[in-house]
Amino acid sequence: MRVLQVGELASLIKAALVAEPELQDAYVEAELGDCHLSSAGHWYFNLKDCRPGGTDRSVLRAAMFRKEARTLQFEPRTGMRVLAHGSVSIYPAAGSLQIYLDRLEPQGVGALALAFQQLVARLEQEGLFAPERKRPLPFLPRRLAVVTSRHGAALRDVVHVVQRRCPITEIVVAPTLVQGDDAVREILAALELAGRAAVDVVLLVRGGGSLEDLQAFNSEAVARAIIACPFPVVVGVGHETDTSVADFVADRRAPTPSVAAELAVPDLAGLRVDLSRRSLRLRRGGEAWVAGERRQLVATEGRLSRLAPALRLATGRIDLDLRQVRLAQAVRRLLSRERTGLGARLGLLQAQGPGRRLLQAREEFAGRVGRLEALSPLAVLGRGYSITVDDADARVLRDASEVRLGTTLRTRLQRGQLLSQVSEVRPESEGGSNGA
Amino acid sequence: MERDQTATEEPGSAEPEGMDYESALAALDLVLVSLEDGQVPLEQAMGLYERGVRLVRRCSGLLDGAERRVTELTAGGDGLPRERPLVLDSDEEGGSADG
Repeated sequence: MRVLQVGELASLIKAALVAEPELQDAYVEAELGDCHLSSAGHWYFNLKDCRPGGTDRSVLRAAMFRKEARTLQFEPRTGMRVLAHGSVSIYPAAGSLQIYLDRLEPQGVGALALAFQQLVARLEQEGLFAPERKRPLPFLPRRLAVVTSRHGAALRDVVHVVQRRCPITEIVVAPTLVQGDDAVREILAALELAGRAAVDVVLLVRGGGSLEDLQAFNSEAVARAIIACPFPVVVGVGHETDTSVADFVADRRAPTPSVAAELAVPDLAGLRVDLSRRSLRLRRGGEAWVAGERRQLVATEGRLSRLAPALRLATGRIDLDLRQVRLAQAVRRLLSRERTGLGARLGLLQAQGPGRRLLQAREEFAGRVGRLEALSPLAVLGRGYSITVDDADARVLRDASEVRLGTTLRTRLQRGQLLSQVSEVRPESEGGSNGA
Repeated sequence: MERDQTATEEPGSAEPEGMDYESALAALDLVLVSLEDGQVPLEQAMGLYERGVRLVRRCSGLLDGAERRVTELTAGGDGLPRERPLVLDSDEEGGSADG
Protein backbone atom coordinates (compact mmCIF):
# COMPACT_ATOMS: atom_id res chain seq x y z
CA MET A 1 0.00 0.00 0.00
CA ARG A 2 1.25 3.29 -1.05
CA VAL A 3 1.49 6.20 1.37
CA LEU A 4 0.21 9.42 -0.13
CA GLN A 5 1.13 12.97 0.51
CA VAL A 6 -1.75 15.34 1.46
CA GLY A 7 -1.50 17.13 -1.85
CA GLU A 8 -1.68 13.90 -3.75
CA LEU A 9 -4.77 12.88 -1.80
CA ALA A 10 -6.42 16.22 -2.47
CA SER A 11 -5.68 15.89 -6.16
CA LEU A 12 -7.18 12.41 -6.21
CA ILE A 13 -10.33 13.66 -4.48
CA LYS A 14 -10.59 16.56 -6.93
CA ALA A 15 -10.18 14.22 -9.88
CA ALA A 16 -12.85 11.93 -8.51
CA LEU A 17 -15.22 14.87 -8.03
CA VAL A 18 -14.60 16.23 -11.51
CA ALA A 19 -15.25 12.79 -12.96
CA GLU A 20 -18.67 12.62 -11.41
CA PRO A 21 -21.15 14.44 -13.75
CA GLU A 22 -23.83 14.84 -11.10
CA LEU A 23 -21.35 16.75 -8.93
CA GLN A 24 -20.30 19.04 -11.77
CA ASP A 25 -23.83 20.01 -12.72
CA ALA A 26 -25.52 19.92 -9.36
CA TYR A 27 -28.81 21.53 -8.40
CA VAL A 28 -29.24 21.82 -4.70
CA GLU A 29 -32.08 23.12 -2.62
CA ALA A 30 -30.87 24.73 0.57
CA GLU A 31 -31.22 27.38 3.22
CA LEU A 32 -28.53 30.06 3.20
CA GLY A 33 -26.40 30.62 6.25
CA ASP A 34 -23.35 32.71 7.13
CA CYS A 35 -23.68 34.91 4.05
CA HIS A 36 -20.58 36.98 3.51
CA LEU A 37 -19.55 39.30 0.70
CA SER A 38 -15.79 39.72 0.39
CA SER A 39 -14.25 43.02 -0.55
CA ALA A 40 -13.27 41.46 -3.86
CA GLY A 41 -16.95 40.91 -4.64
CA HIS A 42 -17.14 37.15 -4.00
CA TRP A 43 -20.01 35.70 -2.01
CA TYR A 44 -19.49 32.94 0.56
CA PHE A 45 -22.32 31.02 2.21
CA ASN A 46 -23.20 27.86 4.02
CA LEU A 47 -25.81 25.74 2.29
CA LYS A 48 -27.85 24.05 4.96
CA ASP A 49 -30.15 21.11 4.55
CA CYS A 50 -33.68 22.41 4.69
CA ARG A 51 -35.69 19.21 4.94
CA PRO A 52 -38.03 19.51 7.89
CA GLY A 53 -37.45 17.56 11.04
CA GLY A 54 -33.92 16.41 10.27
CA THR A 55 -31.76 16.54 13.37
CA ASP A 56 -28.57 15.81 11.51
CA ARG A 57 -28.72 18.83 9.19
CA SER A 58 -25.92 18.68 6.66
CA VAL A 59 -23.94 21.83 5.87
CA LEU A 60 -21.87 22.49 2.77
CA ARG A 61 -19.60 25.47 2.05
CA ALA A 62 -20.52 27.41 -1.07
CA ALA A 63 -18.82 30.17 -2.97
CA MET A 64 -20.01 32.44 -5.78
CA PHE A 65 -17.27 34.42 -7.43
CA ARG A 66 -17.65 38.00 -8.51
CA LYS A 67 -18.18 37.15 -12.16
CA GLU A 68 -21.26 35.07 -11.38
CA ALA A 69 -22.35 37.17 -8.42
CA ARG A 70 -22.85 40.15 -10.76
CA THR A 71 -25.89 38.45 -12.27
CA LEU A 72 -27.55 38.11 -8.88
CA GLN A 73 -30.91 39.90 -8.88
CA PHE A 74 -31.16 39.86 -5.11
CA GLU A 75 -28.97 40.07 -2.08
CA PRO A 76 -28.39 36.66 -0.42
CA ARG A 77 -29.42 36.64 3.21
CA THR A 78 -29.18 34.12 5.99
CA GLY A 79 -32.33 32.07 6.32
CA MET A 80 -33.30 32.51 2.70
CA ARG A 81 -34.36 29.33 0.84
CA VAL A 82 -32.61 29.00 -2.46
CA LEU A 83 -32.12 26.79 -5.45
CA ALA A 84 -28.41 26.75 -6.22
CA HIS A 85 -26.53 25.42 -9.20
CA GLY A 86 -22.84 24.75 -9.45
CA SER A 87 -19.98 22.29 -9.38
CA VAL A 88 -18.47 20.56 -6.37
CA SER A 89 -14.75 20.72 -5.84
CA ILE A 90 -12.15 20.82 -3.16
CA TYR A 91 -10.24 23.88 -2.06
CA PRO A 92 -6.85 22.26 -1.33
CA ALA A 93 -5.43 25.21 0.67
CA ALA A 94 -8.20 24.93 3.24
CA GLY A 95 -8.87 21.29 2.75
CA SER A 96 -12.51 22.08 2.38
CA LEU A 97 -15.08 20.70 0.05
CA GLN A 98 -17.07 23.47 -1.64
CA ILE A 99 -19.73 23.96 -4.21
CA TYR A 100 -18.86 26.73 -6.62
CA LEU A 101 -22.14 28.37 -7.62
CA ASP A 102 -22.94 29.92 -10.97
CA ARG A 103 -26.64 30.47 -10.32
CA LEU A 104 -28.60 31.21 -7.24
CA GLU A 105 -32.33 31.84 -7.14
CA PRO A 106 -34.56 32.38 -4.22
CA GLN A 107 -37.20 29.74 -3.67
CA GLY A 108 -40.82 30.54 -2.98
CA VAL A 109 -40.59 34.11 -4.22
CA GLY A 110 -39.06 34.94 -7.59
CA ALA A 111 -35.69 36.54 -7.78
CA LEU A 112 -37.08 39.67 -9.40
CA ALA A 113 -39.76 40.07 -6.82
CA LEU A 114 -37.26 39.64 -4.06
CA ALA A 115 -34.86 42.10 -5.61
CA PHE A 116 -37.74 44.52 -5.89
CA GLN A 117 -38.72 44.11 -2.26
CA GLN A 118 -35.19 44.59 -1.14
CA LEU A 119 -34.60 47.68 -3.24
CA VAL A 120 -37.87 49.21 -2.10
CA ALA A 121 -36.96 48.55 1.51
CA ARG A 122 -33.53 50.11 1.10
CA LEU A 123 -34.70 53.23 -0.72
CA GLU A 124 -37.51 53.67 1.74
CA GLN A 125 -35.02 53.55 4.57
CA GLU A 126 -33.05 56.30 2.83
CA GLY A 127 -36.19 58.40 2.98
CA LEU A 128 -36.49 58.62 -0.79
CA PHE A 129 -40.21 57.86 -0.76
CA ALA A 130 -41.00 60.50 1.84
CA PRO A 131 -43.96 62.67 0.89
CA GLU A 132 -42.09 65.85 1.87
CA ARG A 133 -39.46 65.03 -0.76
CA LYS A 134 -42.03 65.15 -3.53
CA ARG A 135 -41.88 68.27 -5.66
CA PRO A 136 -45.11 70.00 -6.65
CA LEU A 137 -46.01 69.94 -10.32
CA PRO A 138 -46.24 73.25 -12.16
CA PHE A 139 -49.83 74.36 -12.55
CA LEU A 140 -49.54 75.35 -16.18
CA PRO A 141 -46.36 73.90 -17.72
CA ARG A 142 -45.08 75.69 -20.82
CA ARG A 143 -42.90 72.73 -21.83
CA LEU A 144 -43.22 69.09 -20.97
CA ALA A 145 -40.69 66.35 -21.66
CA VAL A 146 -41.82 62.79 -22.32
CA VAL A 147 -39.31 60.04 -21.69
CA THR A 148 -40.66 56.95 -23.40
CA SER A 149 -40.41 54.71 -26.41
CA ARG A 150 -40.36 56.57 -29.69
CA HIS A 151 -42.84 54.07 -31.11
CA GLY A 152 -45.12 53.01 -28.32
CA ALA A 153 -48.78 53.76 -27.80
CA ALA A 154 -47.74 55.49 -24.59
CA LEU A 155 -46.26 58.45 -26.50
CA ARG A 156 -49.36 58.78 -28.66
CA ASP A 157 -51.57 58.71 -25.61
CA VAL A 158 -49.57 61.43 -23.86
CA VAL A 159 -49.48 63.66 -26.95
CA HIS A 160 -53.22 63.23 -27.47
CA VAL A 161 -54.08 64.05 -23.90
CA VAL A 162 -51.78 67.08 -23.73
CA GLN A 163 -52.95 68.49 -27.03
CA ARG A 164 -56.57 67.97 -26.13
CA ARG A 165 -56.37 69.41 -22.63
CA CYS A 166 -53.68 72.01 -22.98
CA PRO A 167 -52.53 72.68 -26.54
CA ILE A 168 -50.35 75.60 -25.43
CA THR A 169 -47.98 73.22 -23.67
CA GLU A 170 -45.05 72.25 -25.86
CA ILE A 171 -44.08 68.59 -25.84
CA VAL A 172 -40.49 67.49 -26.22
CA VAL A 173 -39.86 63.78 -26.54
CA ALA A 174 -36.74 62.09 -25.23
CA PRO A 175 -36.90 58.69 -26.91
CA THR A 176 -35.62 55.61 -25.12
CA LEU A 177 -35.98 51.88 -25.02
CA VAL A 178 -38.27 50.93 -22.16
CA GLN A 179 -37.45 47.26 -21.93
CA GLY A 180 -34.59 44.92 -22.59
CA ASP A 181 -31.00 44.93 -21.51
CA ASP A 182 -30.24 48.46 -22.71
CA ALA A 183 -33.38 49.99 -21.29
CA VAL A 184 -31.82 51.20 -18.03
CA ARG A 185 -28.88 52.81 -19.77
CA GLU A 186 -31.14 54.50 -22.31
CA ILE A 187 -33.65 55.68 -19.75
CA LEU A 188 -30.82 57.26 -17.76
CA ALA A 189 -29.54 59.04 -20.85
CA ALA A 190 -33.02 60.25 -21.81
CA LEU A 191 -33.74 61.52 -18.29
CA GLU A 192 -30.41 63.32 -18.34
CA LEU A 193 -31.27 64.90 -21.68
CA ALA A 194 -34.71 65.95 -20.49
CA GLY A 195 -33.09 67.42 -17.39
CA ARG A 196 -30.94 69.64 -19.57
CA ALA A 197 -33.76 70.74 -21.88
CA ALA A 198 -35.48 73.66 -20.19
CA VAL A 199 -38.82 72.06 -19.41
CA ASP A 200 -41.26 72.43 -16.52
CA VAL A 201 -42.13 68.80 -15.94
CA VAL A 202 -40.95 65.35 -17.08
CA LEU A 203 -43.16 62.35 -17.82
CA LEU A 204 -41.56 58.91 -17.64
CA VAL A 205 -44.08 56.52 -19.15
CA ARG A 206 -44.56 53.19 -20.79
CA GLY A 207 -47.44 50.89 -21.47
CA GLY A 208 -48.29 47.87 -19.39
CA GLY A 209 -46.21 44.72 -19.12
CA SER A 210 -45.21 41.90 -16.91
CA LEU A 211 -42.87 42.36 -13.97
CA GLU A 212 -40.01 41.20 -16.21
CA ASP A 213 -40.92 43.78 -18.86
CA LEU A 214 -40.86 46.55 -16.33
CA GLN A 215 -37.47 45.69 -14.89
CA ALA A 216 -35.93 48.97 -15.98
CA PHE A 217 -38.49 50.83 -13.88
CA ASN A 218 -37.46 48.81 -10.88
CA SER A 219 -33.79 49.57 -11.22
CA GLU A 220 -32.06 51.54 -8.56
CA ALA A 221 -30.19 53.62 -11.14
CA VAL A 222 -33.44 54.80 -12.74
CA ALA A 223 -34.92 55.51 -9.32
CA ARG A 224 -31.96 57.70 -8.41
CA ALA A 225 -32.04 59.43 -11.81
CA ILE A 226 -35.68 60.35 -11.22
CA ILE A 227 -34.74 61.85 -7.88
CA ALA A 228 -31.78 63.70 -9.43
CA CYS A 229 -33.87 65.16 -12.24
CA PRO A 230 -34.01 68.96 -11.82
CA PHE A 231 -37.69 69.01 -12.79
CA PRO A 232 -40.60 67.21 -11.16
CA VAL A 233 -41.17 63.77 -12.65
CA VAL A 234 -44.50 62.06 -13.21
CA VAL A 235 -44.19 58.31 -13.66
CA GLY A 236 -46.92 56.57 -15.56
CA VAL A 237 -46.17 52.90 -16.08
CA GLY A 238 -49.10 50.76 -16.95
CA HIS A 239 -48.98 47.59 -14.94
CA GLU A 240 -51.39 44.98 -13.96
CA THR A 241 -50.19 44.18 -10.51
CA ASP A 242 -47.53 45.86 -8.46
CA THR A 243 -46.09 49.29 -8.29
CA SER A 244 -42.62 49.92 -9.65
CA VAL A 245 -39.75 51.50 -7.75
CA ALA A 246 -39.96 54.40 -10.20
CA ASP A 247 -43.52 54.95 -9.02
CA PHE A 248 -42.37 55.20 -5.43
CA VAL A 249 -39.73 57.83 -6.07
CA ALA A 250 -41.78 59.81 -8.61
CA ASP A 251 -43.05 63.23 -7.63
CA ARG A 252 -46.43 62.05 -8.89
CA ARG A 253 -47.43 58.57 -9.97
CA ALA A 254 -50.12 57.60 -12.39
CA PRO A 255 -51.53 54.20 -13.32
CA THR A 256 -51.19 54.86 -17.07
CA PRO A 257 -49.42 57.25 -19.44
CA SER A 258 -52.72 59.02 -20.20
CA VAL A 259 -53.37 59.69 -16.55
CA ALA A 260 -49.80 60.91 -16.14
CA ALA A 261 -50.47 63.44 -18.90
CA GLU A 262 -53.72 64.49 -17.25
CA LEU A 263 -51.89 65.09 -13.99
CA ALA A 264 -49.20 67.11 -15.75
CA VAL A 265 -51.34 69.58 -17.67
CA PRO A 266 -54.55 71.35 -16.67
CA ASP A 267 -57.67 71.31 -18.75
CA LEU A 268 -57.51 74.65 -20.54
CA ALA A 269 -61.23 74.77 -21.28
CA GLY A 270 -61.94 74.31 -17.59
CA LEU A 271 -59.49 77.07 -16.73
CA ARG A 272 -61.13 79.40 -19.21
CA VAL A 273 -64.55 78.79 -17.70
CA ASP A 274 -63.08 79.31 -14.25
CA LEU A 275 -61.41 82.54 -15.31
CA SER A 276 -64.49 83.95 -16.95
CA ARG A 277 -66.43 83.21 -13.75
CA ARG A 278 -63.89 85.22 -11.81
CA SER A 279 -63.96 87.94 -14.42
CA LEU A 280 -67.72 88.13 -14.00
CA ARG A 281 -67.30 88.23 -10.24
CA LEU A 282 -64.84 91.07 -10.63
CA ARG A 283 -67.29 93.07 -12.69
CA ARG A 284 -70.07 92.29 -10.24
CA GLY A 285 -67.78 93.14 -7.39
CA GLY A 286 -67.15 96.53 -8.97
CA GLU A 287 -70.82 96.98 -9.67
CA ALA A 288 -71.75 95.86 -6.18
CA TRP A 289 -69.38 98.44 -4.81
CA VAL A 290 -70.86 101.20 -6.95
CA ALA A 291 -74.38 100.04 -6.11
CA GLY A 292 -73.53 100.16 -2.41
CA GLU A 293 -72.16 103.66 -2.74
CA ARG A 294 -75.23 104.71 -4.72
CA ARG A 295 -77.56 103.30 -2.03
CA GLN A 296 -75.71 105.33 0.55
CA LEU A 297 -75.90 108.40 -1.61
CA VAL A 298 -79.63 107.94 -2.11
CA ALA A 299 -80.09 107.48 1.62
CA THR A 300 -78.17 110.66 2.31
CA GLU A 301 -80.18 112.53 -0.26
CA GLY A 302 -83.33 111.24 1.37
CA ARG A 303 -82.27 112.56 4.76
CA LEU A 304 -81.39 115.86 3.20
CA SER A 305 -84.75 116.28 1.51
CA ARG A 306 -86.56 115.37 4.74
CA LEU A 307 -84.69 118.14 6.46
CA ALA A 308 -85.46 120.68 3.73
CA PRO A 309 -88.88 120.52 2.00
CA ALA A 310 -88.95 120.16 -1.75
CA LEU A 311 -90.31 123.65 -2.20
CA ARG A 312 -87.44 125.15 -0.32
CA LEU A 313 -85.12 123.18 -2.44
CA ALA A 314 -86.85 124.60 -5.53
CA THR A 315 -86.76 128.13 -4.12
CA GLY A 316 -83.22 127.61 -3.23
CA ARG A 317 -82.54 126.61 -6.77
CA ILE A 318 -84.27 129.74 -8.11
CA ASP A 319 -82.33 131.81 -5.61
CA LEU A 320 -79.27 130.20 -6.83
CA ASP A 321 -80.19 130.94 -10.44
CA LEU A 322 -80.91 134.57 -9.57
CA ARG A 323 -77.64 134.81 -7.78
CA GLN A 324 -75.97 133.47 -10.77
CA VAL A 325 -77.60 136.11 -12.94
CA ARG A 326 -76.67 138.79 -10.42
CA LEU A 327 -73.21 137.55 -10.31
CA ALA A 328 -72.95 137.75 -14.07
CA GLN A 329 -74.38 141.23 -14.05
CA ALA A 330 -72.06 142.31 -11.33
CA VAL A 331 -69.19 141.06 -13.27
CA ARG A 332 -70.34 142.85 -16.38
CA ARG A 333 -70.82 146.09 -14.40
CA LEU A 334 -67.50 145.79 -12.86
CA LEU A 335 -65.95 145.32 -16.23
CA SER A 336 -67.71 148.28 -17.83
CA ARG A 337 -66.90 150.50 -14.86
CA GLU A 338 -63.37 149.59 -15.16
CA ARG A 339 -63.56 150.39 -18.81
CA THR A 340 -65.15 153.80 -18.10
CA GLY A 341 -62.66 154.60 -15.44
CA LEU A 342 -60.01 153.75 -17.87
CA GLY A 343 -61.47 156.18 -20.45
CA ALA A 344 -61.64 158.97 -17.86
CA ARG A 345 -58.13 158.35 -16.89
CA LEU A 346 -57.16 158.49 -20.51
CA GLY A 347 -58.88 161.95 -20.76
CA LEU A 348 -57.11 163.10 -17.62
CA LEU A 349 -53.92 161.86 -19.00
CA GLN A 350 -54.50 163.81 -22.19
CA ALA A 351 -55.46 166.89 -20.14
CA GLN A 352 -52.16 166.66 -18.40
CA GLY A 353 -50.44 166.68 -21.75
CA PRO A 354 -47.96 169.54 -22.53
CA GLY A 355 -49.93 171.16 -25.46
CA ARG A 356 -53.07 171.51 -23.41
CA ARG A 357 -51.20 173.07 -20.55
CA LEU A 358 -49.57 175.66 -22.79
CA LEU A 359 -52.94 176.74 -24.12
CA GLN A 360 -54.28 176.99 -20.61
CA ALA A 361 -51.31 179.09 -19.53
CA ARG A 362 -51.90 181.39 -22.42
CA GLU A 363 -55.56 181.82 -21.52
CA GLU A 364 -54.67 182.49 -17.93
CA PHE A 365 -52.15 185.07 -19.00
CA ALA A 366 -54.70 186.92 -21.16
CA GLY A 367 -57.14 186.93 -18.23
CA ARG A 368 -54.58 188.37 -15.91
CA VAL A 369 -53.66 191.10 -18.44
CA GLY A 370 -57.33 192.06 -18.71
CA ARG A 371 -57.73 192.21 -14.96
CA LEU A 372 -54.58 194.33 -14.73
CA GLU A 373 -55.90 196.68 -17.33
CA ALA A 374 -59.22 197.00 -15.55
CA LEU A 375 -57.42 198.09 -12.39
CA SER A 376 -55.26 200.70 -14.15
CA PRO A 377 -56.34 204.36 -13.45
CA LEU A 378 -55.60 205.14 -17.01
CA ALA A 379 -58.38 202.77 -18.01
CA VAL A 380 -60.77 204.74 -15.74
CA LEU A 381 -59.69 207.92 -17.45
CA GLY A 382 -60.50 206.20 -20.73
CA ARG A 383 -64.08 205.82 -19.64
CA GLY A 384 -64.32 209.71 -19.17
CA TYR A 385 -63.18 210.08 -15.58
CA SER A 386 -60.37 212.50 -14.68
CA ILE A 387 -58.07 213.08 -11.72
CA THR A 388 -57.55 216.44 -10.16
CA VAL A 389 -54.58 217.29 -7.97
CA ASP A 390 -53.38 220.44 -6.23
CA ASP A 391 -50.73 221.57 -8.57
CA ALA A 392 -48.66 222.92 -5.68
CA ASP A 393 -48.30 219.70 -3.77
CA ALA A 394 -49.79 217.10 -6.26
CA ARG A 395 -52.35 216.08 -3.60
CA VAL A 396 -55.32 214.27 -5.14
CA LEU A 397 -58.39 216.30 -4.44
CA ARG A 398 -61.38 214.35 -3.06
CA ASP A 399 -63.23 217.11 -1.02
CA ALA A 400 -64.07 220.58 -2.44
CA SER A 401 -63.87 222.16 1.00
CA GLU A 402 -60.20 221.39 1.10
CA VAL A 403 -59.49 223.76 -1.79
CA ARG A 404 -59.16 227.48 -1.50
CA LEU A 405 -60.01 230.04 -4.06
CA GLY A 406 -57.25 230.89 -6.42
CA THR A 407 -55.48 227.50 -6.06
CA THR A 408 -53.98 226.17 -9.25
CA LEU A 409 -55.36 222.76 -10.07
CA ARG A 410 -53.95 220.25 -12.44
CA THR A 411 -56.45 217.89 -14.05
CA ARG A 412 -55.32 214.73 -15.77
CA LEU A 413 -57.42 213.45 -18.59
CA GLN A 414 -56.98 210.25 -20.61
CA ARG A 415 -54.75 212.23 -22.87
CA GLY A 416 -53.05 215.37 -21.64
CA GLN A 417 -53.47 217.69 -18.57
CA LEU A 418 -55.32 220.84 -17.85
CA LEU A 419 -54.12 223.64 -15.47
CA SER A 420 -56.92 225.79 -14.02
CA GLN A 421 -57.62 228.17 -11.08
CA VAL A 422 -60.36 227.72 -8.59
CA SER A 423 -62.89 230.56 -9.03
CA GLU A 424 -65.54 229.22 -6.67
CA VAL A 425 -65.74 226.54 -3.96
CA ARG A 426 -69.05 224.74 -3.44
CA PRO A 427 -68.94 222.36 -0.38
CA GLU A 428 -70.98 219.21 -0.10
CA SER A 429 -74.29 220.74 0.80
CA GLU A 430 -74.73 222.48 -2.54
CA GLY A 431 -73.60 220.13 -5.22
CA GLY A 432 -73.90 216.31 -5.64
CA SER A 433 -71.26 213.86 -4.81
CA ASN A 434 -69.66 214.27 -8.16
CA GLY A 435 -66.20 215.72 -7.78
CA ALA A 436 -65.46 218.15 -10.47
CA MET B 1 -53.22 93.22 10.30
CA GLU B 2 -49.64 93.66 9.24
CA ARG B 3 -49.48 95.80 6.17
CA ASP B 4 -46.98 95.09 3.58
CA GLN B 5 -43.58 96.61 3.21
CA THR B 6 -42.29 93.11 2.73
CA ALA B 7 -45.07 91.86 0.52
CA THR B 8 -43.36 91.94 -2.84
CA GLU B 9 -43.50 88.16 -2.95
CA GLU B 10 -47.17 88.02 -2.13
CA PRO B 11 -49.79 87.82 -4.81
CA GLY B 12 -51.35 90.92 -3.27
CA SER B 13 -48.86 93.45 -4.54
CA ALA B 14 -46.72 92.09 -7.37
CA GLU B 15 -47.12 93.27 -10.94
CA PRO B 16 -49.61 90.97 -12.71
CA GLU B 17 -47.60 90.98 -15.93
CA GLY B 18 -44.77 88.93 -14.42
CA MET B 19 -46.91 86.37 -12.62
CA ASP B 20 -47.50 82.74 -13.42
CA TYR B 21 -51.05 81.54 -13.80
CA GLU B 22 -51.46 80.27 -10.27
CA SER B 23 -50.14 83.41 -8.57
CA ALA B 24 -52.20 85.64 -10.82
CA LEU B 25 -55.30 83.62 -9.99
CA ALA B 26 -54.58 83.79 -6.26
CA ALA B 27 -54.05 87.54 -6.53
CA LEU B 28 -57.31 87.86 -8.43
CA ASP B 29 -59.12 86.03 -5.63
CA LEU B 30 -57.70 88.50 -3.10
CA VAL B 31 -59.00 91.39 -5.19
CA LEU B 32 -62.42 89.75 -5.47
CA VAL B 33 -62.71 89.21 -1.73
CA SER B 34 -61.74 92.81 -0.95
CA LEU B 35 -64.05 94.22 -3.57
CA GLU B 36 -66.99 92.05 -2.63
CA ASP B 37 -66.50 92.93 1.01
CA GLY B 38 -67.47 96.47 0.02
CA GLN B 39 -65.59 98.10 2.88
CA VAL B 40 -62.83 99.71 0.84
CA PRO B 41 -62.81 103.44 0.13
CA LEU B 42 -63.39 104.74 -3.39
CA GLU B 43 -59.82 105.30 -4.45
CA GLN B 44 -58.75 101.88 -3.23
CA ALA B 45 -61.76 100.23 -4.86
CA MET B 46 -60.83 101.79 -8.18
CA GLY B 47 -57.26 100.57 -7.78
CA LEU B 48 -58.43 97.07 -6.85
CA TYR B 49 -60.77 96.86 -9.79
CA GLU B 50 -58.10 98.01 -12.19
CA ARG B 51 -55.70 95.46 -10.73
CA GLY B 52 -58.34 92.76 -11.04
CA VAL B 53 -58.81 93.56 -14.71
CA ARG B 54 -55.06 93.35 -15.28
CA LEU B 55 -54.93 89.99 -13.49
CA VAL B 56 -57.75 88.58 -15.59
CA ARG B 57 -55.94 89.81 -18.67
CA ARG B 58 -52.70 88.19 -17.51
CA CYS B 59 -54.43 84.86 -16.85
CA SER B 60 -56.28 84.76 -20.14
CA GLY B 61 -53.09 85.80 -21.90
CA LEU B 62 -51.38 82.77 -20.42
CA LEU B 63 -54.22 80.53 -21.58
CA ASP B 64 -54.27 82.00 -25.06
CA GLY B 65 -50.86 80.89 -26.27
CA ALA B 66 -50.53 79.40 -29.71
CA GLU B 67 -50.87 75.67 -30.18
CA ARG B 68 -47.47 74.13 -29.62
CA ARG B 69 -45.60 71.61 -31.69
CA VAL B 70 -44.07 68.32 -30.65
CA THR B 71 -40.30 68.08 -30.88
CA GLU B 72 -37.82 65.31 -30.37
CA LEU B 73 -34.82 65.67 -28.12
CA THR B 74 -31.52 64.23 -29.23
CA ALA B 75 -28.12 64.58 -27.65
CA GLY B 76 -25.75 66.80 -29.56
CA GLY B 77 -22.04 66.20 -29.72
CA ASP B 78 -21.59 68.44 -26.68
CA GLY B 79 -24.10 66.35 -24.72
CA LEU B 80 -26.58 69.22 -24.82
CA PRO B 81 -30.08 68.55 -26.10
CA ARG B 82 -30.98 69.35 -29.70
CA GLU B 83 -34.59 69.62 -30.79
CA ARG B 84 -36.21 68.70 -34.06
CA PRO B 85 -39.83 68.36 -35.07
CA LEU B 86 -41.33 64.98 -34.37
CA VAL B 87 -43.86 63.23 -36.52
CA LEU B 88 -45.75 60.70 -34.51
CA ASP B 89 -46.22 57.16 -35.73
CA SER B 90 -49.49 56.71 -37.51
CA ASP B 91 -52.39 56.10 -35.20
CA GLU B 92 -53.81 53.45 -37.46
CA GLU B 93 -52.26 50.65 -35.50
CA GLY B 94 -54.72 51.78 -32.90
CA GLY B 95 -54.60 50.60 -29.35
CA SER B 96 -53.64 52.50 -26.30
CA ALA B 97 -50.90 52.06 -23.78
CA ASP B 98 -53.60 52.19 -21.16
CA GLY B 99 -55.36 49.04 -22.42
